[in-house]
Amino acid sequence: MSLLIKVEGLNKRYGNKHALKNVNFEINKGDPVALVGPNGAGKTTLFSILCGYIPYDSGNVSILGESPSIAAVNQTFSALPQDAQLDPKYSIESQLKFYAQLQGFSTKQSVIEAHKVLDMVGLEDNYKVKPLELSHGMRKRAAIAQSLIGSPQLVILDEATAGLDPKHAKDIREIISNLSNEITFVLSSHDLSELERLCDQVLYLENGELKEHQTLTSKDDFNYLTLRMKQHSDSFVKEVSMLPSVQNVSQLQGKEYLISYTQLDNTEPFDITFLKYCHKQNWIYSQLVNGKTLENQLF
Amino acid sequence: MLSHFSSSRVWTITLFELARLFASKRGLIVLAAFSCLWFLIFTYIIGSAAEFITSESFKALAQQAFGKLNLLALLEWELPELSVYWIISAYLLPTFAILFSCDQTCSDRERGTLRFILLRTSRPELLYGRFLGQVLILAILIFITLIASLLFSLLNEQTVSFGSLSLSFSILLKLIIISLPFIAGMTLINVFVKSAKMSLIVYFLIYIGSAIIINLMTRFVMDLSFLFYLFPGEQIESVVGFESNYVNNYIIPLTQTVVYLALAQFIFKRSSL
Repeated sequence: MSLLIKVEGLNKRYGNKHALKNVNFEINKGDPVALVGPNGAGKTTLFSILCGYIPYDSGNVSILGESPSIAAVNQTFSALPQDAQLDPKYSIESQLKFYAQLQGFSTKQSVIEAHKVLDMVGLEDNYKVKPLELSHGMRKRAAIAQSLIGSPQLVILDEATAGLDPKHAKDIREIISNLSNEITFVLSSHDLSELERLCDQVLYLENGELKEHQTLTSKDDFNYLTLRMKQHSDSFVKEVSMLPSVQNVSQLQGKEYLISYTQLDNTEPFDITFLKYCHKQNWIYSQLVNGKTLENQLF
Repeated sequence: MLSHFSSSRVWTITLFELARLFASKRGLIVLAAFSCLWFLIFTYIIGSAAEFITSESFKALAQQAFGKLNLLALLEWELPELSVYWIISAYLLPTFAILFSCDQTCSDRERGTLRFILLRTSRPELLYGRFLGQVLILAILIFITLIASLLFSLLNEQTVSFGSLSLSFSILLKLIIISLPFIAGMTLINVFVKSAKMSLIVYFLIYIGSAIIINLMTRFVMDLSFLFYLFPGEQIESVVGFESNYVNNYIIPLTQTVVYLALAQFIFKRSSL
């Protein structure tokens, strides 16, 4: 596995506020990585340091073995900075072409590259349009397009789908999913279900401190089922608790339940047993998650 | 860090600066205003002043007046239009330099556009690319007005000799050098203000405020007039006589330019975006 990002003992203060406290983590080439945390946790500060936009007080940050500002110049990574906007005076094509030229593309190739990335985000009919003539969602997609110029090894996306309608948010998720074989994405978002779908590794920031979580691959999580029922049943918790292998059943919120169980040797897999039981009881469920949801892991 | 400095990226940024002026609506409006102003200057100042300078009645008076102002050399010029153009430009172009270059990085930084650009280039490359872009824009504008001045002389039924062409090149070079510290001063102010308007306000506040303070200190405390050399344009009065004074012609404006740019780079490299 090749190491893409290495952060050691990172500290950043804004006056009296300790925005990042001794943050340590590594990101290797591979599946998308999520960075989550409540507002003010330090996500954007961390992203800004990774991109070389703001200086840090102490610690080490390296991207592919280089400092962030040098890694940016070497075009080994790209990013979608939160709230950054393209220049309203020029067409998105001319700006992306300019960025491609800065990345070493010739004048002719830069036009092709600009068109390629705009096509990828569904803006093929808007090459000549200026940013202010686009909707908020389209502007966001144009900003995502700039991060894909030149096929970087690593792309950092800060709130990539914030403000997008469900269809275009889905399109962006599909783009990330499709490109994740070639590009390692680091994503921040408040939409945990989105991150859960895309990411394997989760970095959780709270009050400037980092807690690392593994989703799906964590062995503990295979002993949980998260179930969302269509209808509420008063006896659900009591009856499921009676099933063999079940350790505990707890109601999370509304019609959502967390079932912990132990898989007994030489017996039918518990999820099959459970689904048969649901069918027998005529319980209709809307979603079954193998493990805890990211939301339940973090909060 | 120097090994990460790419002149081709600087040149790409410089060329995009040209597009910012010559291919944008705002830039074209500015150019139209610039052209109108110069049309008026040519029609009502250069034309009539050149005619006046060549008249015999003016020459005796001018010998005395221009002598005091160290402008005698200008009376020897073959084309009087060039003399008038040079004097007007030497005093007027710094203002144009300030106005044209007042938004080098500030609005892009405020909007976040710099964050996209700095994912592909280093901060010094961006700073120098934008600075060179402004220099190139001004050089093009000086070149155009200089050509217009020569055409104006032709229209007045004068012949443009090789000597006048060589003199025009010298004027172009001197005007660019006069403008350099003004543009570099704006590069410096741009790294800490948030808008083009604010950069102009800060520029004039620093310029006028410092002049008042230095004058007061010189008058009532001690001679601090040497501090005027910290500010661009101090040497213009000496340069306008077109004498071969290397300190005034080159060393002062170029040193100011280098110092402003070095300060701008120092601050910009450490600033948060």
